[in-house]
Amino acid sequence: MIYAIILFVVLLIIYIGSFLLNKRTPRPKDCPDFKACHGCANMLCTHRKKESQ
Amino acid sequence: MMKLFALFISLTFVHNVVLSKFYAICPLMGLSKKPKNALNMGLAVIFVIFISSIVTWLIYYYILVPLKITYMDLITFIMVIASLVQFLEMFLKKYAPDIYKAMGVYLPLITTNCAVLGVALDNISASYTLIEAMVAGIAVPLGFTIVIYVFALIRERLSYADVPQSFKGAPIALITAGVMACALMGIAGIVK
Repeated sequence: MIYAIILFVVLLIIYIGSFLLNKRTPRPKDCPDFKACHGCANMLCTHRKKESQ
Repeated sequence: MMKLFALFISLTFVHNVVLSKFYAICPLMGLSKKPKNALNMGLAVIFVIFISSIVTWLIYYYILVPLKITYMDLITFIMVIASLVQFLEMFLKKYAPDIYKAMGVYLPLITTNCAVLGVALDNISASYTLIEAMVAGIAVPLGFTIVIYVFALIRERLSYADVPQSFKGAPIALITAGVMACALMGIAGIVK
């Protein structure tokens, strides 16, 4: 049981770390702004433009 | 070698991840309006599933099995895939901006693509070796890419077709997917 908890905590730390590192990594200079994307109908996508915007 | 080839053909066409197992229906419907978007999504899925199937196989057999915590496989694979997608996006931003521009927007969508998790879990439940898991990691997303691209081409033509009002949009798309599934069943006897 203890190994399971340790593994879960380690995975959670890795995920949070990778998320923060990814967020801080700048996009390539001539890359389009994905925040205005409407390329798909997936409402969960973080790049999808909000309907109110 | 023949066994691996049979596995490849089986997972790509006969037991296609979308049309026989019904994984990844969400991107199939959501990303198949334009063939270019469908192809880019397919390439991103090939990239992520190949790497995730190797990583999850190694984690299962070298961490979960020795520690006797195999019941943690589902949550471990979810976290590993989510982290992997973040790392891949970061890597592509930094070292391969051209590839990032081509598939950058599709990478976060892969976290919610159940085919990625499905391949990782199927590799374990089918007791594949590492080589077989790598073949599955190529064959399954290739099957997905072929289906989503062909489906997008058909949908593009359907937008110009004289479809009855009540069948326009999702209904005709789902009927098309059903007909494609029937077509793939025609080769079901080739490989078990």
